[in-house]
Amino acid sequence: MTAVFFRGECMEVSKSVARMFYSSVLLLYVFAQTIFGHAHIFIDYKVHACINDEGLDGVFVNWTFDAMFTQFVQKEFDKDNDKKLNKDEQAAIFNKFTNDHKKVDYFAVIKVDGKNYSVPAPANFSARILPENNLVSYTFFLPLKLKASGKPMEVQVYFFDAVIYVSFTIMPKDISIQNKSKNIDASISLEKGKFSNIPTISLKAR
Amino acid sequence: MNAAIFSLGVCFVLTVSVFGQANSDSVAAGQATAVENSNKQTADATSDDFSNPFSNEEGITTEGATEGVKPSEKKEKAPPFWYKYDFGKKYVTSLQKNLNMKVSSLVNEFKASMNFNKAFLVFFFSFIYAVLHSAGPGHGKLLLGTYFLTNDDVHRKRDAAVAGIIVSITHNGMAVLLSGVLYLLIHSFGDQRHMQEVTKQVGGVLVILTGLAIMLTSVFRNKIKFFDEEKNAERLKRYPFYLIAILSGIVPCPLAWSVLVLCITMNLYWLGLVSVFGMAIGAGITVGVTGLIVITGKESLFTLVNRERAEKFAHVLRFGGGVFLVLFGYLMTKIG
Repeated sequence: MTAVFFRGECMEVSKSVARMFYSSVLLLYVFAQTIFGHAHIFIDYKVHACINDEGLDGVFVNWTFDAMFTQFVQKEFDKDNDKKLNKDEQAAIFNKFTNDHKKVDYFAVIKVDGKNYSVPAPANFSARILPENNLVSYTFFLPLKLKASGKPMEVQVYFFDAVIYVSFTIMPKDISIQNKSKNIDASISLEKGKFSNIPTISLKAR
Repeated sequence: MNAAIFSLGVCFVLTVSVFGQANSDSVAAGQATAVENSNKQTADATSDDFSNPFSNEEGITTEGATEGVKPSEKKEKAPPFWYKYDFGKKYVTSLQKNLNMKVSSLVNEFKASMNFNKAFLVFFFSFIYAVLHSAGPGHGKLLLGTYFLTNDDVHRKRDAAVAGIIVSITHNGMAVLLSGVLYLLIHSFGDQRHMQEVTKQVGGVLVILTGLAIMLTSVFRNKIKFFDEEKNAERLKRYPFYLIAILSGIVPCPLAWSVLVLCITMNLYWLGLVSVFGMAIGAGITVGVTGLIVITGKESLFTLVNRERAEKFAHVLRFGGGVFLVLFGYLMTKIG
């Protein structure tokens, strides 16, 4: 007979039962490892919604990379080593950005009232090295052109890598809205999603 | 022994959870709070030209960028079903992010101060980072674990340690080889993700071939004369083990690659190697412990059935393991 601790209680069971108990837990542990996050690149992102008289014109997005990936971008693209990314260097980055991420929709998910929408090509792309922390940051605009009506509309725009190679994080301070219309009520909030936090834009024509 | 390994496993999981929790305030806060920004800043402006809040620079505009979005039939790419359950995943991701930042900042601090205590800390945190990181999916554990679970040729606990060493050498060695050699030759780090895809595809084909070999030998073992000679059989059955251990680590470690890039760009190649050495030890321990867990678990399960049944069971398992390896190899070549 041997002792097994279960829920804080010591139980006496036969050796074979104890072995089976331990083995099951151990095997469960082995396979449970796959549940852990396994990111290699960490991106903090920001979303800024732009509302015009028509509705949601689009969102400005900002990605800030971790220090390790920053070094990779700098070494590969900052050819003149001046810690600044000039137009040519930014164009090279944009090429790589579209080549690598177009097939995965730039990791973006766009949902309107719960329904999936196509992801547009990013516009106004710029890349720079932030002076405050020397991290590389990409900024681009996703033109959505969604018309508002009298019926409330809920638009979700978030970034997520299904293969968990890249980890996207967004914080409450990283969402904002610019409303240039007097005819549309709009707000942005950060909802708790199934896999990550989700910036959600609500809009309705008056 | 089982109890000791079980305790080790539990301790590891607890450590991960506790440290993760301590370091994941930001993520937790992000999910607990939903901040509402109302449209109080409504302006009189009628122009559709919005100012970019993140950058003053004029961006690169692409064709067709002015088109709006339309409903899509495309299904959202979903992660594995278990991903929707947290199980401490956010803590672990957050902790890894913090460790990533820690190693980066220590490399920077070393560069600024040339204080060798910082170099030791780089080694230490790289080790911790790798222990935790390699506990996640990949790093050869599933391939190796399946082989251990399904093959009666590998049963010694020492094999787990050997596998840990082989995987950590190949996994991290490939990163050093590819990043270092590429940098020395063409002064570029190449495309890390592309390299990984290529090595995964090559590895996948080799895994398929190994799986087929295991399936064939499990069916025809008694019919091939060569296996009758004990010496030949003993020698041959070790080959798949070494091959699987090498293949498990053939995809270069992206983490080691990243830290090498960081250090090389700062002209601290040797510090990159120190960091990778710490990572290799950490990953080796995780892989070794995983192998040990599988071997111990398998031994315990085999003691529950009688000897005759155990032999039949082992035979079926071996063939099943071969099938699994073929499928696994196929997925490696397809998924990338």
